[in-house]
Amino acid sequence: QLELKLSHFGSDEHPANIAAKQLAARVAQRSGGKVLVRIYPNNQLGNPPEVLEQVMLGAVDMSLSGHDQLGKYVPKFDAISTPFAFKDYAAADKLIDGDFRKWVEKDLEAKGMVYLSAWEWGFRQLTNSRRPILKPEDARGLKIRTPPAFAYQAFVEAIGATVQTIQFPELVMAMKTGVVDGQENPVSVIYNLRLNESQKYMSLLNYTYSSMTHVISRQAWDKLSAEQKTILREESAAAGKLMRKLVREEETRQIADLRSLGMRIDQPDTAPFRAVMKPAYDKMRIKIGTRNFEEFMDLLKRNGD
Amino acid sequence: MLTFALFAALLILLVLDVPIAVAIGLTAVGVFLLEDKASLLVMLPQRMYSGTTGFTLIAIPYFVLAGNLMNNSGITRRIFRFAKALVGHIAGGLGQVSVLSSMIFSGMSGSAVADAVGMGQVQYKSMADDGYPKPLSAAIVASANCIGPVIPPSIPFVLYSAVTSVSLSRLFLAGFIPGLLMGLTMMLAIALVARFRRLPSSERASVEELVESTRGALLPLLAPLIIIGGILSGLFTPTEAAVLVTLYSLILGFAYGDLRLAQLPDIIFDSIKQSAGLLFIMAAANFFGWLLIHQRIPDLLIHSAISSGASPASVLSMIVGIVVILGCFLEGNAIFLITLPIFIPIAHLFGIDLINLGVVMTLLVMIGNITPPVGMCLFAVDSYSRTGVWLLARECLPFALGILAVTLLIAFVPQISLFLPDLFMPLK
Amino acid sequence: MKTLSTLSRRFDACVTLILKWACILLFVALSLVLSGNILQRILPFLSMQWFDEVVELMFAALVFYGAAALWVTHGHFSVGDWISQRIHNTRARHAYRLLVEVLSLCFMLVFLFNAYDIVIRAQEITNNLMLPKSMLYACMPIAAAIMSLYSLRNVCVELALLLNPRWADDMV
Ligand code: NA
Ligand code: NA
Repeated sequence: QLELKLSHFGSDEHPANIAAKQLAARVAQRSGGKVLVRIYPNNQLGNPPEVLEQVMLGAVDMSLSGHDQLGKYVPKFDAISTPFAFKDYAAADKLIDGDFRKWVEKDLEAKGMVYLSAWEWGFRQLTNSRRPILKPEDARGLKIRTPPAFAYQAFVEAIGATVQTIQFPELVMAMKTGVVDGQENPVSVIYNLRLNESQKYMSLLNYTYSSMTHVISRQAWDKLSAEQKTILREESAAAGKLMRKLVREEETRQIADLRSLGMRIDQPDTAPFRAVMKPAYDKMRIKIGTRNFEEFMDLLKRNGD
Repeated sequence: MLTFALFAALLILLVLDVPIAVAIGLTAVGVFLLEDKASLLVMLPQRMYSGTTGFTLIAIPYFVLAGNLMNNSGITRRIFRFAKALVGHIAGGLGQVSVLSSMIFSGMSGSAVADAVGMGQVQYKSMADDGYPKPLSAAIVASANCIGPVIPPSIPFVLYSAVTSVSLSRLFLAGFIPGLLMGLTMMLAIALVARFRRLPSSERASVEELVESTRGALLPLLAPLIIIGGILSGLFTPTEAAVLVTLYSLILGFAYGDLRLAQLPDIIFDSIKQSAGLLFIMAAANFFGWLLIHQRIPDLLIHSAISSGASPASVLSMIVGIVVILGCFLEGNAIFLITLPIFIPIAHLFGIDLINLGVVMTLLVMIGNITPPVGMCLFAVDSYSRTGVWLLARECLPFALGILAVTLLIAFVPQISLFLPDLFMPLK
Repeated sequence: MKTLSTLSRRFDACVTLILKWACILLFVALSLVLSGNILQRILPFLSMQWFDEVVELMFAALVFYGAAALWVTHGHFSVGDWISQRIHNTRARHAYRLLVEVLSLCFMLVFLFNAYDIVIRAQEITNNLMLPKSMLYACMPIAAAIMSLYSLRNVCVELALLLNPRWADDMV
């Protein structure tokens, strides 16, 4: 009997945990109880970067890690954050499950981790308390809080706003007191933190996509039989699909809810925003390497529209 | 079984007088070695690093330094004089002044022990000079300064927020009313004692003295406003407030001429060492907490709590009981760090509010500060009053019971502590 | 014995002095960066994307070097030495102190070894300044080495006193 510890950030009712539970149940059943997945939700074993390091060091077996975390080991992952890389969920699914995976898999293995499948965080959206942002000029001079993530900050600066550093636990207060004008997050976070109470405007720009990857440490992977590996791969992919479905259903519902609560939600044309992204792309180039960036752009072109 | 062995080993190491951080860390190391998981020891540095680098924790050295600067710059004396002008004449005289001055000083300082050392000496000397029985004076000083970390700013709150990631701003607000209640309870107790022991009161302060002492205390009194005003207005986070208050007390110290530049390196270095001592425990405890969760100990305890049909009230009573007992033997912040990884998931499951729990836990470890054999405030006050720890502890008993009564009230009526955070920083 | 303790005291003074100024400088620098961040919110022309990383780097170093400085002076929190006073036999007392020092040394060596291990094995690169995580972790093995050294010295001292309690007169 083999126990695999899976650590993730989501709370008990979070789609990530629901999908993880399905994974655990099905793997146990299909492996005849030989492989048990133990779930540690809620950042119990550490915050996302720490947990990924634990996987890398073999202290925890599996994690659901954001591409921004993986990007600290394999810079190619950071390419996903390229602003406006994907216009919608279908485009993101197609690339990430296909060419992107082939592109990064080997690099990840060199760091001692095996790519199981891609799950989901969702698209990130921009909110603020001042005015509807329909074109980049509307954002000029606004103070926008971002997490300390490179690409998000590059986007905020490219549209002429200023980046503000505020820790996540103080985010709600910072919005309420108006010391910061806006922030950016996936809809579910905006909804669950009730940011609509302080942020009257949201622009559904799908400006960047956050993926999440189910990874397993090389050490744990090597302990599995070929059959068990297949089971784990298949169930990981199935759980990822379930999570995507849950996240997207939830998101549609939450957007409707936020509208009915009086939040103004616009879906502006993204063309003018793409037009001012050059500085952000230049920064991406430096960050992940010109070659990686060009290769990623090729992947986009080949898969795209 | 593992749980029991774990805590037994920890207790033995602590009793042997091994440094607390080492005792905590070594226990966890031992468990991994026994379980033949030496490969997991690489988590020791990762968890120690992670446990000390949380952004909120940065507030700690600043609050410590601000307190040390105020004690070195005569600010404590100004506040004491101001409190004396206000309440020196009521029953219990200087005892009441001590409690009030501690309450005011609480608004700028975050550590009970530091307050008991700094502000405490001013209070003790005044009472002793005024003919108060020495053991009683020492007891009043030790107990009154326990208010320090309940009224914001507060180092235990910072630790609690770092461990549980509840909003530190909300936690700070939640401490206000409980801190005031604590002070009022103590003042009531002193008024009663004053009757029995015929304690002297001072003359009612003249109008000139009132004006003069207020003017002397005016600038120091702005410090709490910087902290609370800044947090409420959202202008800065608690950590930033800590930095600003430190800067402010530095300026006051130089302006009053009580602080010399040459003293500064030593004051800063001492404050860093004090904070590092605390944060090193935090570091080791973070590894210990990781072990607990890795071994699923909170889960197992939750299962047994549920299967034994525990109610939120009984869980809460159990927490109170455990912390009061631990408080006799352990330093307060260590109690926090050892028990919270277990208490938090349980409290979460039983629907106990985490902000209120933070206030209750802090009040409980404050009781621990004045209970023997190990009470940090007892030690601090004994170091200059030379009362003897056990005699001092006996004199503290009525106050400890008073604080316990307040604690129970707060524990079971969470609306008291939650009133201000819900008013100013509602979550919903 | 006497020259040895003089030497050791000089060494102490030197280590403490280095740690003291390292801590003070880190603290001053940290204060400047934190104040800069507040200023930046009011005057948003400063770009401080490196803020988190630099703060983390400095604060971690501050904590661990501060802890090392405290270790040199035996200043870490403990329950208090209530046992020594109750042991009247000098040898037994030193045997007990030896046990405590050995336990501390054990922990410090485990910490040192694994802190070194994680510095070697960490592969993360930070987001903005692209610093290797090993650089941020480096304060731990350095602090642990200092603390181990002092624990080792304490063990030697207690061992010497256990073997020959009269040496205590020389060491004061
Ligand atoms: Na306080
Ligand atoms: Na106690």
